[in-house]
Amino acid sequence: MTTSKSVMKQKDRVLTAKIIKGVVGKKLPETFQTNQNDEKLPTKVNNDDLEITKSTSVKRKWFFPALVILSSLFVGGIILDVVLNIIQTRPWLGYPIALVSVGMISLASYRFREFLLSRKRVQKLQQFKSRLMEIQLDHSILKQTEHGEIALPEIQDIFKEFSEHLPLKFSVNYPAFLSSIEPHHELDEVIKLYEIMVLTPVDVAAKQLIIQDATKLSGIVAISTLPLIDTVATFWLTQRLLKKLATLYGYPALSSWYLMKSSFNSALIAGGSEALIQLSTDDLLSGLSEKISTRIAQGAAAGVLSARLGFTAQVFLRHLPFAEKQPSILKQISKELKQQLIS
Amino acid sequence: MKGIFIKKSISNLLNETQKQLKKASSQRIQIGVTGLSGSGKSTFVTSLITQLLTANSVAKLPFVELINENRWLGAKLSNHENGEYMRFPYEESVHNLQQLDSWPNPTTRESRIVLELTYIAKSSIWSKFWPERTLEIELIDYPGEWLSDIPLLDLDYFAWSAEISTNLKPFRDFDEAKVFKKKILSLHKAIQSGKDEPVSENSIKYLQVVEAYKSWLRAIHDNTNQYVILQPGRFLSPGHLENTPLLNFFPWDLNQFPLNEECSIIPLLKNRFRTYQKKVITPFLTDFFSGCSRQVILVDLVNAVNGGKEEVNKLQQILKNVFKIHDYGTNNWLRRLINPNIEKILVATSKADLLPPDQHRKMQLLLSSLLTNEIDTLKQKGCSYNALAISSIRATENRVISENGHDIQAVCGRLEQVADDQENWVTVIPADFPESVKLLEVKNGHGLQNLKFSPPQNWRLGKDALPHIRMDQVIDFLVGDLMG
Repeated sequence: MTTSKSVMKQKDRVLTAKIIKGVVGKKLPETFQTNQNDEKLPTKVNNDDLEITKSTSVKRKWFFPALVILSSLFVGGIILDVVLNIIQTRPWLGYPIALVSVGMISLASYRFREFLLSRKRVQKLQQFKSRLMEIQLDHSILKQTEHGEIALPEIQDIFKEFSEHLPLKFSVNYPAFLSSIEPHHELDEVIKLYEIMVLTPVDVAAKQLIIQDATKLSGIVAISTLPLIDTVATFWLTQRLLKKLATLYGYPALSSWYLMKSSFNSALIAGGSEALIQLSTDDLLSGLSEKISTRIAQGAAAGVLSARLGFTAQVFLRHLPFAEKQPSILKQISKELKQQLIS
Repeated sequence: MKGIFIKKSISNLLNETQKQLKKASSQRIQIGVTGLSGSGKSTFVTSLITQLLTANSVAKLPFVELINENRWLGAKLSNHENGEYMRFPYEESVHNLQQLDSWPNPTTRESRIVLELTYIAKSSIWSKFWPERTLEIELIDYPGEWLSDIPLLDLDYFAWSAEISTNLKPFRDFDEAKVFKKKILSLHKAIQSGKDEPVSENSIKYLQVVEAYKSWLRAIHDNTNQYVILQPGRFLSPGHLENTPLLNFFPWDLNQFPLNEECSIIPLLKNRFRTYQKKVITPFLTDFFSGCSRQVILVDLVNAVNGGKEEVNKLQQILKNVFKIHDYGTNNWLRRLINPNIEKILVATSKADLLPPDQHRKMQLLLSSLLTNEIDTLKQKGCSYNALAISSIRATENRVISENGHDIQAVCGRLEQVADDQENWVTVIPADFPESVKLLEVKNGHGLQNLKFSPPQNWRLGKDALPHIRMDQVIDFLVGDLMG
């Protein structure tokens, strides 16, 4: 709706005769300001109440840092000792080795720092998701925002942080999402909008990755003759898939070991394991083993297992809980995998 | 020569195959737009068409997943109407909005319009060969007054007469009511005296009573904001039945004007009533509801809340009657009659723009609370249901007013009719909307009853987005699943 300046002036006037008074009405203030900048953020927020609840768990908080410091001191000491020895005996070789060592240590520290930051962010994400699930009455209705459980500006900040770390081709959707928010959108609508506009393209890419890698693994297992090759391929492809998924959702520095461990923990806590158990490989293999050889069927089974692992990691890394029931998503993945294998 | 013939044959074959493939890849659904008079059906249909037509250009529809996934190709008005029904006057409605600065004209008779939506199917084996698909949606609009006729199917003539006489009691001080009483009294006297025996439906006195009754109904309809069941609904919006003998009857209150059973007017009125049931109400239900797999039920909840608890209760009763049509789980006469196959029902409280955004949730909660049992039944039968607070065309803007450090939500809009010395732009702080009937006091309305805002100024089709509230969610709910 286009409005000229004069019209805007008129618009800001209040016709007192039309203001509702009485029991359910609110009295009109004599002087007021129209705060148009706040239009997009109509919900009142009390920032003190909105701090994300930090985990109260302090279990073994000291263990990991202590282990890292001690290991670093130990490894650092050995490297320093070796380098000093070389410098004393062969200075022409010692200095380049010292430089390379310093470079490598710096790189390792940087990577480690990145890992720690990513880990912190992914932990924050888990807290946010569990908080969302707590207040979610069902998949579409959230409790009123008035009680300060969660508020629109806060969620916008959280989404901003999430999307900043996404790969560029996905993070560009964030401004479009932001501009799509209308003053009348409620909290659950803003969340849904983020899911549709920002998260869905990432989900599609993740699903493709999972199917692609599962198909590859199925192929390798089907044609390999040595069990060792199966094992190595499974290990390598699974690690690679987890790393790719982490990069896709904006946590590139997370190690695949950490992801594997955390995804399973998270799935067990959230009851996702039930969904995983429910979908047996029989779903995929039914009707397939009669058509193809046993070896190919084994490959397909390996593919399904890899897909399941990928999906568990996706659930862990995804910025929002899946609204759709998990078994149905897994079935979709299995169906597409089956199509790929048949074709 | 032979070569040319073969080439032509192959070309024809290819064209025919292409046509058949296109036909096979398109589907058609009917969407019924239901709602009482004044609930904004015409505006809803106009907005829905406009949003779909401009989805690729100016419309803001972030909730339509198809558009976000870049699978939306376009929409156009189809020419496939079979001519049996009146076409929805879309162009006239747009003209009203663009040129006359007025809302679309209210619906006076049943009308339909077909839209052709083209999209790209999601990846599947079939879509690799034929990705482009078409979905035809037929929107059916009809006067809300016709909805009040549904309960008539359960009544006989005298039961209806007694019921309508009670319903219309509060409006007996209308001039038209006095005229009606006078005319019926005159007819009664004539019958009693035996002068005009036997009374025919073409006699002047009889027709005068019919006309007086129609005028009374019209006067109530035009002069009150309350929910009143005005029957027969066709007396207010006759559609193509105007001036036909089908509408030549009126209620006869035997308590007020006693008659002998042998009196000839009784079979006449009874017969006319039965014919109305059989030839007007039944075909309306079969034509309208049997083909619609998706329904939109529009409710003007703000108006009802303005009227207080009694009005909301009346609205609830009317909505329950509407839902009876969809109660296809029980083996009742309606089920046998119309056998509807409703997949989705959207109940929308229109005119959400009269309230600031922080009150929309309450509107939805109140609406859902009015229909708790009906929703449960529908869900049990596997029918999808959604309740939304919408505004087909948003006429107001939101304002945040600061008062003593507190922000108050308000709406600002241009009034439709104002006195010369008044500003037409007003900012209003509406009262808190009750989220349940319990919170609604009998005497306290919502206080917006006199405010009628004008449609958005300077809007041009195709150049500006038609402002709305949640029409994108409406579109996604109604057709999103069909375009997978």
